[in-house]
Amino acid sequence: MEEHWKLPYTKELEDAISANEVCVVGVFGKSTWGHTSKGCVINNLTNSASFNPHYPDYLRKNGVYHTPNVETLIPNIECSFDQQKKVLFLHLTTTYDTAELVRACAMMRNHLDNHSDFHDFWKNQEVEIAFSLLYLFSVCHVLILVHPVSIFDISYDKLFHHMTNLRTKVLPHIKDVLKGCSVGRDWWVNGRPCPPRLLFVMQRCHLSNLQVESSGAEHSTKKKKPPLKRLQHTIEDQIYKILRNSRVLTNSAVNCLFTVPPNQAFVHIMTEQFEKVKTEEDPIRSMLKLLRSSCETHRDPTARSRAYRLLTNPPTQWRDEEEDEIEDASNPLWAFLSQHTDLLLSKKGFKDSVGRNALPTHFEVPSLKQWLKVANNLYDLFFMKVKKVETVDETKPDINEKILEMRQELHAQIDPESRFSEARCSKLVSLASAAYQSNLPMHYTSKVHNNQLGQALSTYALHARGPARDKYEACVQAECEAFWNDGRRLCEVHSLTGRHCVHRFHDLPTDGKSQPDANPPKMAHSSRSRTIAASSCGRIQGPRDDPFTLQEANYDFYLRMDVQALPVISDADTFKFPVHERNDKQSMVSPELHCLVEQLHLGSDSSSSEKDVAARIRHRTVSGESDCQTSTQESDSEEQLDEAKPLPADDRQRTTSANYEFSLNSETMPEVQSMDYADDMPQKLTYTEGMMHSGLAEDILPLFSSWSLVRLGAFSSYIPAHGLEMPGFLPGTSFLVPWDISLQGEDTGATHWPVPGEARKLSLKETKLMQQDMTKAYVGYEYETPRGQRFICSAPDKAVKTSGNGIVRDPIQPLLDMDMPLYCTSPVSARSGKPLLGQLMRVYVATPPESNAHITLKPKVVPGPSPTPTFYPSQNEIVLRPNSLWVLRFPYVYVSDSGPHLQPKDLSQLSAWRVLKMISVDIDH
Amino acid sequence: SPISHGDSPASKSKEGTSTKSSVKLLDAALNWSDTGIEQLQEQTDFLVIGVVGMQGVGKSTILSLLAGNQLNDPPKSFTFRPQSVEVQERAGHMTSGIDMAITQERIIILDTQPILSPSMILEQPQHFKATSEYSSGSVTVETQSLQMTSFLLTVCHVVVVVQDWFTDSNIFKFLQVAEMLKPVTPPPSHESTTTIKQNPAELQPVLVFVHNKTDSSMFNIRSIAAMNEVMSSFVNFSNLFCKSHFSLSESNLYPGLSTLVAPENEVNSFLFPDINDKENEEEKSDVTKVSYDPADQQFLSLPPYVGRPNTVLLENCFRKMMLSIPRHSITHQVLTEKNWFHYAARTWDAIRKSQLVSEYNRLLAG
Repeated sequence: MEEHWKLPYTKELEDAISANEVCVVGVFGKSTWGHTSKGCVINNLTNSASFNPHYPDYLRKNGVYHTPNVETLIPNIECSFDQQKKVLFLHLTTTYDTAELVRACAMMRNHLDNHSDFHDFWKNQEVEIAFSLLYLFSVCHVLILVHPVSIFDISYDKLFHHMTNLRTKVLPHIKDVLKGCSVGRDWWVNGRPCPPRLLFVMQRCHLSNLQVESSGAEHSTKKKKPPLKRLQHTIEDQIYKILRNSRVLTNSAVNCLFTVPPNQAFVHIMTEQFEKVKTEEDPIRSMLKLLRSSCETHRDPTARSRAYRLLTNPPTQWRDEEEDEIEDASNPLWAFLSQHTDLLLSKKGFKDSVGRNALPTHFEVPSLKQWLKVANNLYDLFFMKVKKVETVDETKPDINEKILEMRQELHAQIDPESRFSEARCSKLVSLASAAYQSNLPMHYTSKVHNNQLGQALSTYALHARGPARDKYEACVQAECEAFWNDGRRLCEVHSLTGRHCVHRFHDLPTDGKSQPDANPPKMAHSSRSRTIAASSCGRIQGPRDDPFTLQEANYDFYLRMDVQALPVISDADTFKFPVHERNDKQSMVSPELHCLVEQLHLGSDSSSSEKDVAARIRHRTVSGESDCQTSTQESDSEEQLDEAKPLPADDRQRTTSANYEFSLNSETMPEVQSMDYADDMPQKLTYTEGMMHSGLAEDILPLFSSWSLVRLGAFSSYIPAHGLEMPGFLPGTSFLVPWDISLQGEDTGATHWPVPGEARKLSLKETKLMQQDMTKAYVGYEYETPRGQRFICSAPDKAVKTSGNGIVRDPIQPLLDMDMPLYCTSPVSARSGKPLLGQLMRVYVATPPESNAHITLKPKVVPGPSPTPTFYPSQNEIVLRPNSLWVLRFPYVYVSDSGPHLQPKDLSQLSAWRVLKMISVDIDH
Repeated sequence: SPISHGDSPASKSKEGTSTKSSVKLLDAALNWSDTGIEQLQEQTDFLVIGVVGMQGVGKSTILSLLAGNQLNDPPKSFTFRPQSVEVQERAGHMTSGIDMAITQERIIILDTQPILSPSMILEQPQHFKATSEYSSGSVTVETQSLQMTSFLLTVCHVVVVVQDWFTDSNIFKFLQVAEMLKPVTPPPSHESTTTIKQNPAELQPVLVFVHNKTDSSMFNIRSIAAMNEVMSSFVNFSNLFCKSHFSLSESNLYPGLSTLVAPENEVNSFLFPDINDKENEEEKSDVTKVSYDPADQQFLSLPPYVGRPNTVLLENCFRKMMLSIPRHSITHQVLTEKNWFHYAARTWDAIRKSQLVSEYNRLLAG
């Protein structure tokens, strides 16, 4: 049998040893590491080194634990058999030992990330400790509770109380196990070889006068006993009284968890041995001590020669020599223990029952072999859950379950913290909910919700305590979320002008009909904000709802308005901005193929909420009708697509004819012609659901045009003296700015900034000559406020001015040479006194009848400071047909990938939102 | 002797005596005593330090160091009397209730009776035959200890937790329960003008763990790092300020410690040796008797090896570090010393009558 081994013992025993009768001594308790760990107390008892001092691995491995292995943290029982003394020592290590504690903490450092898990982990450790102690109390004759300092730790009082209760529950199972172990009747009935005696060993004495008094003990004749003895007796008194009080100790030893001897010492305080351990532990200190003693010995002139001493007494034996002398002769710790073990080994037994009719207590001293059998079988019973023994035996799972039940019961008993915390925190949930619900409007946004939730949680946090805090915090959160979602939630979709929807949370109607009673109700968004806006042509005004979709904002609204504006402008007078013809084609494609197209063309976002439609601009490649030649990997599928996609002939014709008509009317429009797709030109391949801007790839078309360009009539339809005869214009601001265009090649005069009064200096003849070579055009930038007020500006932030009878003297040059602001404060402010902002909505150009002056529009808008993209229509250079009054209507909202570009909140920044200069003229010669 | 309030020359002249003796804040029956208010002033720059620890760990000794005593002073001159020999032999406790002393630096020091003390169980015969089946004295004493600790956690800026061996994990569990039973800091009253706008969760004291009577082997930096691992694990879920207010690795006492302990994990802690061991440092024999060789004499007259920083150095360092702890406010209002006294009295009253405490006591008694 080797020096020390762990339970359960699995090896074969030598017969010589196994027949030995043994007294079993269990050692448990708290201790630190190194030479003050518990194992060293046993080493001290036996004067051997059978137990290694425990050090936390942490010290060696620098605290690196990657995977926590909780199973390695279960209490561990080491054994060592002292054959000479016939004593078997069991050494229980648990997380009460600091070395194990450090290991557990380091191991679990990153794995217990909430309070209740952490709490549970440590409570489970306590359950394990209680179970392993109960095991120890069931197999030992004598138990030694080791404590590092000389005080009774009153937490054992509670622990013993719980163990007493636990023992009565486990006893039947212990008896079942013992049936098969051929033990004596008393052992079987009581489930243990004898009522064990509990002894206390305290490692460090707290007396400060120990050294002083022990030397001068003789002359303090008054006191009968040395202070250490007196201290031991007081502590024995304290322990006995406390345990009697809590009824852990009673008169009848048989029923107690353990006994203490009534007339023998049961508390031992280590003094000299402990001091010796402490001083010897530090190698540097002991080496220095050796060196010192060597100095003292060898330099002593009266000593024998140094060589002689060294020969007879080599340094390695210097200390052993001293120790051998005191060994056994004075080992106070063994002397303390042996009084108890001797009683057993000499078959006298413990007589620890007190009272008048004290019953004799049974005891049995087993052979080592017999004991090992009991110990191994009981080990299975107590640590089954942890070991997960796979058994086919049908009775065992039953026991397993019962033991597990007991563990849980014990867990609940030793954990008043959780019960307290649960009770306290659960009460707070309703309080926190009430805090959330106070002062809430009927419907509210997530901002309000989060605010109130924050309040509720801080109310909760103020009172919530303990390990259950996190659990009920989640409850508070869930309850508040539920309250909000239960009809209190406001729809938070923002319109494209930045206002949020006023309805409660709702779905959009799929078929256009709103169903307010559905859950969630189905209705369209509304911000309840209404503005007055004019049609594309500007001839009529009407109310408009705050738009939530781009198509509504820039296309559908104007479509509806333009139909109402009579006379309806003919197709011929409408410039068709190129758009991607998706709907026509898709309607012709079978659903399966449609899916295929979707898959092919990276369109994965079919779950677009209404809010995102504007922001989410999708680019999809749609194979054009005539690009079969493109040799890509997709060519096969594309061919299939082409076959399955018969573009109706009349549709094609209609599109082409519209363009044809347009180009017929415009006599020279090279750009438009180049844009026209003839049969041999591929259609643009990709489209966007949003607007055209500089952030997109080049060959992209929108699904609808956000811009419109219509011809209101001939050049003559604009009467300069009347201005534009349209509703909504502020008085005197409906006049276009005249533009004198020189038809001569070098039209230097017209491009110069006119010096005031210069015109008058010209002679009549010259003027006439000039007038012959000049032609007149008119230009006007119209701004529109949300109230429907309209005004034309002749320069940035400058409304047009007329002198009496409608003659505009403002120069044209700023309009041609400068960028204009997109927003401009209205000359008339709102009733509140706040300035109203007008947005550039239309540009009017009256082109002269002369056909050799071609006015070109290149509209470009930068709606915001850098890095805002530049927006332009799908055809960004348009040569206007002569002899016409054209009106270019701008988009109402500008939306790019990053969402709508809203108008500035700070009026001082207005100039960053600008319309780049866009009008130029070419003269044919 | 009372100090005349607000009269600084007068108070200075008495300063010499002001820290020498302590007065009772709570008597042995744990009733509030008002005598201490005479030593308090109407000024707001003060610091309250309390102590928690088991019987005989050296709470009074550690606090006396803060009150200006040296470890070498005779025990009888300590501001807070350490255990006398008689008490030691009786395995008894020295301090009952709470003692208060005020230092020249206007530090209010509260020395308390031990927590979970076995000798206190025996001094409370009135609780012995209580109602419940298992209402032992240990439950009563545990509840009382919790009340006392919750009180300190509410009214002190700094609470020193003293242990005399490393370590009983029950101490940390006990502190968690005490924190759980800590009353809610009352919201600011409207009368007050100087209100500190602060998250109520931040009105918490700083905790400093002092390991007293530490073995020399524990002064090794790897041991300190291992101790820190345990402490930092147990204070992880506490709202008390347990970390980064009092750093051993920044103290230069233990070179190399900062390589083993991450600053964010370092728990406020300090180590003291057993002062009864101090003879080891000082013992000097007459070297001429031992050897006549001058080289030997030189070696023998070296101070003995102790393997840790010198006691006097530790003592001074501890005092300095304690005084430089950043001061947290513990209430919503700025208090004067006298206001604090009333606040403490109210808090103690609230804790004694606390339903939470009695509820927990019921659960403990099971």
